Amino acid sequence: MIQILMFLVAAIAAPAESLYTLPVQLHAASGKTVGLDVARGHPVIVSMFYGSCPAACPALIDDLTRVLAEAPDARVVLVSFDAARDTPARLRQLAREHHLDARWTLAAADERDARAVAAVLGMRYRKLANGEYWHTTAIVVLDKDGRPIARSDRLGDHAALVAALRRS
Amino acid sequence: MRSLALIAALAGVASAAPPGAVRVAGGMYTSPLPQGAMADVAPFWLDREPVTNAQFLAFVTARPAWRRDRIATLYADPAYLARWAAPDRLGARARPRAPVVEVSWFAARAYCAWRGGRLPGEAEWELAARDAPDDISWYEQPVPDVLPDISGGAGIADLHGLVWEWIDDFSAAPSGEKMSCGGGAIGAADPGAYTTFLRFALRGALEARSTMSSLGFRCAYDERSR
Repeated sequence: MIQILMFLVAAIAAPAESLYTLPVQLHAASGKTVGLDVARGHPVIVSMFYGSCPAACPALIDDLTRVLAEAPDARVVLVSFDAARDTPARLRQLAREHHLDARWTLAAADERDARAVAAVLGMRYRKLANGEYWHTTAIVVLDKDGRPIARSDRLGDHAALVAALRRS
Repeated sequence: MRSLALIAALAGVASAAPPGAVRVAGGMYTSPLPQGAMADVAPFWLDREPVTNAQFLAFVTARPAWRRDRIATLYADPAYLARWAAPDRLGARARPRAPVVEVSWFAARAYCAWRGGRLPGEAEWELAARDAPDDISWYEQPVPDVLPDISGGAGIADLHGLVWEWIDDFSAAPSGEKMSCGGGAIGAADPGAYTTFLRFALRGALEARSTMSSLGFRCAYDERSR
């Protein structure tokens, strides 16, 4: 079982620098402008989403809620690539709807910075003609200094993410 | 000088052309992908030529964090600028007037920001390329070990046929089998879209830290930035 989990969540073996060197500005639900390092000092799960996402993003939030229940010291930073619709007010509404506690940071990035976050996460997304987004899944676990220690490209991996967090 | 710039801005005069750039008229761009969105591209400026080895050397001299012996592995793979003779010297395999290659998306972005610009977006690049002559046979040829100098001449040079080029939103190109090796072009009504699909296939396979011996870039500039 552990072997299967390790396959799903790829451990990052090579020494990797902190993602917190990336100079991006995120517009958080709180109304503040923060960097990716908003939760520095804790292990962090970083991913991207958009608020109007019909299925994959709510599923992501469910997964990560389960992860946080078992790894209470962890934090989540979710970056929206749809800053036009995912305003701080909309992000606060989403947080309420999903009962997200203070360990979650929902934030939106403008177009250029969203591409930079996607770049370091290995995430791909594209706006479609109907206003929806096609996008992949990229969940990265960072240690307390923002260095990536594990990565998943699919949903439903919450047990493996917890294992990665416990190793951090 | 500042008051002149202010007066020009108040008069609504577009700022002067960035050195080495040409103005590209805007227009509607429809992506050839399924569910392709339309974009109304505003006019912008685009480098006439891809960025050269000499230009990139000036950049890493001014910004040593981007030298190949100092760059974070987060921002480039191990082949970054591999053909240069040294971190601060071009050497025989990197002619000064040839396009710089083996650069990652992060490095390309940093260079363009240093120049007061940015990378072009997919819509911008494809719009500019639409009117440039394209030769499908280029895509079948192996990459020469030493890239030739940029051809020069009027208009936008070498958008096709010298190197592939980074765009800012390369991560908007879908990954997956449908897009590999031009497979998405099967059934496309316009055979000219074939090379567009090749570009999509390449972008879909790239990561931001990837470098390639045939992948370079050029910069774009907003009309009223800088």
